[in-house]
Amino acid sequence: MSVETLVGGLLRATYFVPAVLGFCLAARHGGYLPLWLPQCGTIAAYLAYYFAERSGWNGACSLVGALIAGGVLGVACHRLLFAGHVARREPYAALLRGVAVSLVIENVVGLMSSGYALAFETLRPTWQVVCGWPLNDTLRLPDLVSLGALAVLAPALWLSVNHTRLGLAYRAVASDRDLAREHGINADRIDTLVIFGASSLCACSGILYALRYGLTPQMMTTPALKIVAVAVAVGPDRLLISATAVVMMGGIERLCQGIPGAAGLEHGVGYTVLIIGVMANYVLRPLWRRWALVMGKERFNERPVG
Amino acid sequence: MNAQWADIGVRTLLDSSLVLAQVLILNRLGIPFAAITLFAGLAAYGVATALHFGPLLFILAVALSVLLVVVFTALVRALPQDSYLLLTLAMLGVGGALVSASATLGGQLGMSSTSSVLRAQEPGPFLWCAVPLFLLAFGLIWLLERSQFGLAVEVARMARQEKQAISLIPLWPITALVFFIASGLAFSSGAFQALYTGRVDPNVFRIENAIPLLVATLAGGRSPWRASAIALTFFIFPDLFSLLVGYQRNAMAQVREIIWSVAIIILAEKQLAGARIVR
Repeated sequence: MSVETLVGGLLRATYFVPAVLGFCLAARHGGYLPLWLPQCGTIAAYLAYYFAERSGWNGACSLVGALIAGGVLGVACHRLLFAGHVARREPYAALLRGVAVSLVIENVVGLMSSGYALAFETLRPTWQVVCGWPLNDTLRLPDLVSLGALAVLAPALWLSVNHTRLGLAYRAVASDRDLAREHGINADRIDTLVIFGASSLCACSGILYALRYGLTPQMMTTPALKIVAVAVAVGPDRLLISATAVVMMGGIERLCQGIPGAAGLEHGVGYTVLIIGVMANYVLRPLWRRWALVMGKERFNERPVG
Repeated sequence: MNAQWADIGVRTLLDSSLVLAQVLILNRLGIPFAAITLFAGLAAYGVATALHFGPLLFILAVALSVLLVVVFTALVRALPQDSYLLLTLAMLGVGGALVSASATLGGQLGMSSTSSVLRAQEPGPFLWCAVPLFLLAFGLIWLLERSQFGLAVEVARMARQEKQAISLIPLWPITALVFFIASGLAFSSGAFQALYTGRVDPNVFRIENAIPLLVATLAGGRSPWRASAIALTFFIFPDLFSLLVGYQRNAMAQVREIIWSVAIIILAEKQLAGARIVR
């Protein structure tokens, strides 16, 4: 186990920062856990591969085309399948549908690629530089873009959500859709904008990850559960902390991998975070509130009269 | 050829028993539980360790299953349905991680579970175990439709949807009993699967295996006939098609999952498993 191992894990986890941000945006907006959303990354990555490697488009056009297609697909999916659940506040039914949608996407992609892993040939980024301590690895363009997403995208998104008029409209719709409508906010437009943004972020994550590590039908399946774990544990309204948490989780996973005899625990980190998050939100917090209420009452009763 | 059919029969019946066990919890009781393979995995490792180190570890696996049933039952009221579903999947994931980290249990490679009594990969004797287990699972769901306990389970399911009614119904004992029955079925299925394959590995706890099972369960509904028919069709489809048409089994499994997932996407509109949200 070394610093290089930890830094390598942190770097790899930064690839999921855009997906976490997108997921949190959509989760807060819709009031459910859109487990299907990270699969927009899978679709976008495979579309980028198709455009660049099969159709012969140039690199920039392929990436932009795949990014837009990922976003549009996300909006279509939301409008067609999930908008009703959001309006009726049905997080469970939406989650089940999300699981089914993920399974369909994963299997369709698997069937079309015969289950084999693919790699970009013409679109492979040429820029690379050997980086010494603390990484001891070759730094490539997708690595830099992911780091940029962590450094720029997360704060920018946080700012726009919390300190702009559009962000205010987003928060109003997320908080109470009907009340927001009554106050003249166009909830449908906010819906489209948020889901397009969120699925584009997931698409960006998928494309970057595929550029660096190759394409597999399951490339966003396991990360999706890690993203859910972070969103549940931290809360979808805390964008900056969520982005940091997913990176930290990647570091912990890699640390586990580095400890002899504990390599298998690497796969359990995300699930443990999810369990802790669920238990903290729904078991410990209500208990704490009840205890605080009892203590508050006792203190109130102990107060001298007059 | 006969051995091949028997092999398909054993695997299909054991997997279908798992689906029927999950139907008891998810569709009859209305609890969003997706980790029935957790009990099957525990049983598989229980059998394997018992064969290697003695029966005490099998008892430990049983005790662990009982503890999990108690935990899952206790958490039903506290958690919203979506979080409960994710929690069960997360428990499965943690189980897999713990098993793959343990050198005693063979790590990621797993360990042998061959027995001298029931020889692995010989489907004949296993059919005598798989058929009664499947019929037992079927019979239990059938009984729930026709017994007073089934009525109690139905009332418990409906009561869970109305916050005011929860305090009027003895939810805990009903939930615990159904959980115990379902986990017992899953445990037996897992034990037979371990003995039949002759090897267990952390893949038994994989979420990727639990999700198709969840899809089959959701599609199965509450009727014992429909659930059994769908479970049997679901698991026999890849083998049957690859045997008859010659396609790859994996590709057929993918086609199967696409078909049933699309069915779930369509069915979700009709409030799957009678699930309304009580927060």
